[in-house]
Amino acid sequence: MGTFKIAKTVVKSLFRKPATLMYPVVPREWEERTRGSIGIEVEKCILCGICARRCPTAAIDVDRKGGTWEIHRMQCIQCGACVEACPKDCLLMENQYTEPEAEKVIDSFEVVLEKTDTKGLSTTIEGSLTCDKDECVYCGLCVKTCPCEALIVDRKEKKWEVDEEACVKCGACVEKCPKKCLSLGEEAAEEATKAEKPKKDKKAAKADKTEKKEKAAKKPAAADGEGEVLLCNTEECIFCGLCVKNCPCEALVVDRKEKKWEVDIEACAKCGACMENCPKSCLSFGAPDGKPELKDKKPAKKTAKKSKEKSFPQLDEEKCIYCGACENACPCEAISAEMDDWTLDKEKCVSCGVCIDACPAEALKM
Amino acid sequence: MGKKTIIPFGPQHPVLPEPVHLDLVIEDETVLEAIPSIGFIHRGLEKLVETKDYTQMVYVIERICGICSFGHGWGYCAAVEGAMNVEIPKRAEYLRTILHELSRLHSHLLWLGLLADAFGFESLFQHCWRVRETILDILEKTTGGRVIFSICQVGGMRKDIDDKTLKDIVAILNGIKAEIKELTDVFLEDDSVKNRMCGVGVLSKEDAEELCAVGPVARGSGVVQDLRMTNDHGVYGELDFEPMIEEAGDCYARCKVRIREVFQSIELIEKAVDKIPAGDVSVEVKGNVDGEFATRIEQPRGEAFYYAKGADSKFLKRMRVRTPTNMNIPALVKTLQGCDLADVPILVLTIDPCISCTER
Amino acid sequence: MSERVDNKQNFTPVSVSRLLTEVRDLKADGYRFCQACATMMGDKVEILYSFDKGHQLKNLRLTISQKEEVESITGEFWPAFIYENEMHDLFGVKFNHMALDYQGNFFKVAEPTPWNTEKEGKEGK
Repeated sequence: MGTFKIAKTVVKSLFRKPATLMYPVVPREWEERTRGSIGIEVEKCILCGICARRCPTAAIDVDRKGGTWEIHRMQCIQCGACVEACPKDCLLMENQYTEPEAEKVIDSFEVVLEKTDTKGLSTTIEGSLTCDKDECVYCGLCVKTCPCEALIVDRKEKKWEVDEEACVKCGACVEKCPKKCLSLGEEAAEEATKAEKPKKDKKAAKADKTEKKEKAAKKPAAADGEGEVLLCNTEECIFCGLCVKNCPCEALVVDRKEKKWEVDIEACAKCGACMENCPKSCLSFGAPDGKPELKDKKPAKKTAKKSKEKSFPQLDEEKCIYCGACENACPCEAISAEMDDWTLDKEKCVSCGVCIDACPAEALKM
Repeated sequence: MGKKTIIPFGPQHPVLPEPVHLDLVIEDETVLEAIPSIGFIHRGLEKLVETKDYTQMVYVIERICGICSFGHGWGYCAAVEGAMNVEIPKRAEYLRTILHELSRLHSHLLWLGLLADAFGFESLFQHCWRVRETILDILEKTTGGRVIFSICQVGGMRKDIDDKTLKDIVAILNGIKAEIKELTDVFLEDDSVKNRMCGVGVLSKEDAEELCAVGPVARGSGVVQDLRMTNDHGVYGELDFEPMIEEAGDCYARCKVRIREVFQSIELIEKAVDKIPAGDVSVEVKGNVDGEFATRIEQPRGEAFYYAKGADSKFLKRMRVRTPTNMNIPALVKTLQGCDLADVPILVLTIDPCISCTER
Repeated sequence: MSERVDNKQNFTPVSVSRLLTEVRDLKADGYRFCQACATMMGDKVEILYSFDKGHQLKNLRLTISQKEEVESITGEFWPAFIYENEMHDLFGVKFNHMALDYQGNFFKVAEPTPWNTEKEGKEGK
């Protein structure tokens, strides 16, 4: 009970520093995490437009032809969705707010596209994505990896199409393509036109095709013949299941316990993606009932040698960054990579070597 | 007996930061009836789910309200996670609880300031907001935003808050506890303040139940209703949570509930920081939303309802957000009947109206 | 003090004719009205009524066609007028015997029933 209860607080305030800041004479210190405004490192930008698509308020405009990246400062809500979505990490959240203005500000950045891609892919704006249709097996893996939904593949119709408007030439499909029939950039475009020219001449085209076929036959992953199906040499097979993971068409079933390997002939696109990654090289194309012929014996020998010795992957602790890539890649779940603790379950390990390929730090050796 | 007059209250009025309109039928100085009308700023955010995918929508839903923003983000994420059968890590659940309690703290302090302003106690208003600034600084440091955190995402949290920072938060909160106590004592003990609040706008327990009041309005009338007693959201079960109940049902009781909740929130944060487990703060969420899920969150203003319905695509079929103010308007209309015209601003404020919330 | 509560999802279908009886039963049972909302399901409208008792959520789902009229539940739960007026203004659902009928003036919308995409003879198109 009482009156003037606030007296204590009021008196205290007389001797206190002001609670407010003499802004803008004394600048405000921003926290590290403050979401102030979006910044861009133009030299890294590939104008892919993923940021514009992720933005909930449509504050970003990406003009690929004009080579500009624009942000409507007053429309941006600083949620940071674009920063998270950027595949090139060129967007960043700065902790400085946009200066107040009387008008709606649009900040425009000129982006010059050069051969900046770290993966050696040319991202020149003139070049476009092309597919070598002679090599293509229409597996549809490129469609699945495309972040922009720019590709259309129809296996039955033997159709492969790219929506030039939608394609941002990020190169994700090129990397994933099991037949390496996709290419990007000027040189590729030239090659494609060259390859297309002789097609007009029927004879030349035929010659070209046979040549290709011969070439293909030399490769392990060729299955141009209609009657051939994917086969597995179950004597060699360790049922690691890596082929299942790599299959773009979900045509494979592997059960390690049951020692079962099955292929759905209807679904299989004969793309050869499974063969490339098979640690035992036990996969091949052949007649349905015929014995699988191991065309490429080199890797088979190699792995056979390995399995005899039953060697295991070994860790170089100094190099290891404990990223867990090996743990994720291991088909047998034999590796656990906790912080500063890398363990291998030798019971489970089948010495397939997938972890060695997966390691970004080259810390693993057989 | 005087003549009946209708006085329009709002949509623009000094105590209303947001537009709501009341037609007050008065006789002499007494309000006989109040007819509410809203819809001045209906934004149709619920409709946006059809054009923004479910991960983008978090940022839109958060902006329903500038004060209980985190609660909205959480409620939306909880509904979508429920529809997708995603279980989020324990640490994320703890962090959400801590941040939710922090936003309750700043919301209640804001409300206390506004209440002081409504009955003309300007210096008390300024002091409440000065203390609130400390909490806003904590929020900016940990999440990057003062009121809109953008830290919640479907599947957990976007950023972790490390244990040292959490300990610092508890230290800061314990540091300002005395200051808050000093200010809340003015609300609870000063005669001039009590004269404006005690016995004003009484909402009986029966009326509160009949009119389906929620949050501090219901609790101020003795209704035991606090969704933190459910296991729908947060880790309140592990923090020995008990709802704050006052029986009187007048403005003073509603104010007292909120003041007690301020101190309770500090305690809850302290307990949560002690118990928080280590680990991840988010899980990867992939695929389309299918199925439906209804959940509720206890926001500073009361129960908020979220309903998500998927259509096996990236876009939701329907997102329903029902905010606490929606539910408290009937209670407000009821308490306004028979009150003095001069008390209308205080009564409107004691339900802590958030019209932007209501109109989404 | 009260026990902690685990909520299970439940959506009980209800017919137009049974709605009022069910709601009356819930009221007698001590339930509190929580919310009501409409969803467009093709050419049908789905209305979800939610009730709460002791922190337990109970949902009733009513599916109606465009032309059907629904009996208002404001007689049992007066606060439902907010939701019924909202559904009337945004989805064009017709409610009979509303305790407080704003006659379509609850929300100030530019065109009638903006959220009902299937409404026959929809004006403003």
